[in-house]
Amino acid sequence: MGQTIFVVCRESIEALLVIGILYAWMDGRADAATGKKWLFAGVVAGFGLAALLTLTLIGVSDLLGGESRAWFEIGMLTFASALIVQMVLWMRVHGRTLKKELEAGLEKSLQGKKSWWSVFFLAMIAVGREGSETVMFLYGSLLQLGTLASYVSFFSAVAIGLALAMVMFYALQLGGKFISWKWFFKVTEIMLLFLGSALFLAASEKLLGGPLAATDLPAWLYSNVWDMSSVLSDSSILGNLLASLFAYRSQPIGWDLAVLGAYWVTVIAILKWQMKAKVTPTVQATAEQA
Amino acid sequence: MKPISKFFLTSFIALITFKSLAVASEAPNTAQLGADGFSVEMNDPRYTKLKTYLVEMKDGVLTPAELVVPEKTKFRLVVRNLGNKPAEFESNQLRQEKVLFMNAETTLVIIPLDVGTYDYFDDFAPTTHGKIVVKAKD
Repeated sequence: MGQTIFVVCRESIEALLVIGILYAWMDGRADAATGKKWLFAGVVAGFGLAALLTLTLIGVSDLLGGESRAWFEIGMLTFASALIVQMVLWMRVHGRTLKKELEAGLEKSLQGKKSWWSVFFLAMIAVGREGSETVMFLYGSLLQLGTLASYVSFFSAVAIGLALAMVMFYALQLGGKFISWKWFFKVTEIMLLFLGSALFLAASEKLLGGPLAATDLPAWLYSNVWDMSSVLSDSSILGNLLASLFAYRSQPIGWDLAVLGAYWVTVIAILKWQMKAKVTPTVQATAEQA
Repeated sequence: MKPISKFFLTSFIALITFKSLAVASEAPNTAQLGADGFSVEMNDPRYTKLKTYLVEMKDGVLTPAELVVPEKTKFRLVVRNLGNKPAEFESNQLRQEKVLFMNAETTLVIIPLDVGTYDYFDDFAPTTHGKIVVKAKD
């Protein structure tokens, strides 16, 4: 029973953290109600995705094959990472104008819909990825049950695990309420970009261990650049959390640093370019209004 | 539970037990260390290109608990779940994560490693922690 609570709680927390960041990010916005519907729809779709992924894990996995599954995971992670960056960029442009538009009684721009699709897909991928493992674990455990008492104990364990995760989710949301919104926006924005880097790194590591496994890359890509596992190990709870949210690695190899470097250079370049490009349209818009 | 489904379940479990016994009797066992101080490689005609080691998981118990492999050498792990529940082979330091249904087998290719100790465990039952010890070749 303890094991079931543990697995359900831990796996759902990882998904809830992503949803929590998205939720907090939307909470301060004027059109949050629409966004939350999209978020909820994404969570529901995520359960569907989890069930589908579980099928490939338990029976169909032989049909789908290890190789195509690896590519699917890499694609999904890269897509999620790109979505996050795109969402942050969109928010930076529309964060200010959207409020003005709404205050002026204007209809929401069509671009708003596009951003909600990102929220939908991100929630779906977060739930689907973590969920498939949980679903498989629960399904496997369910097969071992026999007596009525064991069923009762099993389902209450699932409920307790979920409840514990929800409590932590609300704690996170409450934490957000005590902080000033301006600051919180900045923090969630940075957290989202870091989450994007963590997803991108995970995708690249799957690429390195999967499709690229047969290729011999230069040795420096494989060797540890530094080792601080004695300070904060990846295996510790904090280290593990930092790894999945901020791409923390206690023993990064050359590949990790190259991938993270490429990610941040690209993101910062796009942000810079966006800031430059933004100046002109804003001036035009003010001119038109005048 | 109906008697017929009970029968199927019992025969299913019996089959699993039988199969795992058959697997367990396969020689040689990676749990042993060879004369050179490294773990004994698995002898499997499917995997001849890379050094291949067998890891068995059984409801949280890991065999071997300590795997000794040479440094800077790519190797393959064949992971089997012999337990009665699903298992998840996970290593934070090796960034590996693979779920295995009951009686499932999977293979992982591990990139060349530096000398050191790397963890691995069953993420669904993280009671025992295994170690992959990477030693320098003489």
